[in-house]
Amino acid sequence: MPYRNSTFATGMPAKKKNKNLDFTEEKLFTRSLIQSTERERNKLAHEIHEGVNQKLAAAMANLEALSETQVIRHEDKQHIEYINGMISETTKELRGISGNLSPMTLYKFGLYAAVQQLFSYKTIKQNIKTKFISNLGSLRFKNEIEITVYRIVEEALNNTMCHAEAKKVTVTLHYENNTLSLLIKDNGQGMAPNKLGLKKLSTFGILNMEALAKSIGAVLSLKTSVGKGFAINLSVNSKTISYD
Amino acid sequence: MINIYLVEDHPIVRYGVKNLLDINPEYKIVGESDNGEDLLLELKSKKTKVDLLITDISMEGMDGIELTKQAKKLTNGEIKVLVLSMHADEAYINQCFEAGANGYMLKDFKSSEMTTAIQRVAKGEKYISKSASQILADNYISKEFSNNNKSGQKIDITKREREIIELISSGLSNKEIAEKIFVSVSTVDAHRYNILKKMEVKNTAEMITKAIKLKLIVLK
Repeated sequence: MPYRNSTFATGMPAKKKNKNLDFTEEKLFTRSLIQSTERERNKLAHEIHEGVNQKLAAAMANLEALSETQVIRHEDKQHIEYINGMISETTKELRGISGNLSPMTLYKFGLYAAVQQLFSYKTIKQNIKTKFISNLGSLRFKNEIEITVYRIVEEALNNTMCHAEAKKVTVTLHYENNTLSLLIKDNGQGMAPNKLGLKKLSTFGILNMEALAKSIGAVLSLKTSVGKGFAINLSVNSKTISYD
Repeated sequence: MINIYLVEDHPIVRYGVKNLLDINPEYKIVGESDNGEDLLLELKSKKTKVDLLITDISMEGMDGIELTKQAKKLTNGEIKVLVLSMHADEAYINQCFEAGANGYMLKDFKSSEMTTAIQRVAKGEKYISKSASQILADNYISKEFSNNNKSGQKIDITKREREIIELISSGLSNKEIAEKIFVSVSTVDAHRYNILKKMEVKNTAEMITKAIKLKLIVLK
């Protein structure tokens, strides 16, 4: 199966002069773009989680308290229960939105816990078998590495859900000798590599993944052929760091 | 009477929870704060008897997980902790139990469930609310560890132990399980201890997750 390597597909014209400089500039630009996007997403997620959802929780608690008082008739109790059910569903939906916007689990517990959680969000409804193989445990990496790898896994899983027609997806996240490697492989319909034009690469989010990978100096490669699914491989040099 | 201390940094939620607790004459709110440090000072001074701490997780300064650890340490494990959280992730649930929490509830208040949670946790039993245990079930995925093949691990549990895991995962207390399978509470305790040991897990949350993962039980 032929590989496609990220270094040939940035989508940006490369100047011949000062090639290294251009590469660094592009990397820095993408990185700062990612950082500002993540900052905005964090802010929104925080507002939902710590603002709206807490107010809804308080409303539910008060309604429950009201429902327990003697003055409330049986039919009103049922009505309150119905309203609380609606609030509860709203809270659940908002929790999903806030989780998609900004993965709090990632910031608090790291890649292993966050990818595991991502799996349950993304794949449960689709009835796709998932397998997560990792030796990461509670290992932590620099914030930009964690969020970038997480977003790549997320994008790849979205791809699998939307386009791959796969029955199974396996994510392997392995750390050894200062190298963090990621492999996402599905057993979907795949595609002839020569049909992977710019439009498809963009639709499948591959250009986005490549840009993300580049911003942390990672190498991303893609392997596919008809009937053999997609495999996305990424490796990045990174030391672990400890959080207190 | 159960002496309850409430730590929650959202005043509006604290007010709601208090309203809910006020209904029950068995509960006495002995203190409340928007931060964990206040409770720790209270515990150090030993002026107020606190049986049960109800705490949020995400708070400015010390979070609920650290507060649980410190409160448990200060009281030699005496204080019971019920975590009341908006976090619906397995990692948060596990970390709370690791820290010593006795119960975990999502903030989707049902007064009846809150009463059950408080009663169980006050008795020293473990409690996971229905919505939180659903998350553990949803998170069932085939995890493998590339450096230690835990997924291939075979756990030799008896038919009775399997039955007990199923009953625990459906939210029953030790007493209820004892009544249901016609044995004494201490027998259930012994089974529970053996199950945790055999499965090499520290708490109920881990036990349920692992049991689902290894297909020892199927949640209905």
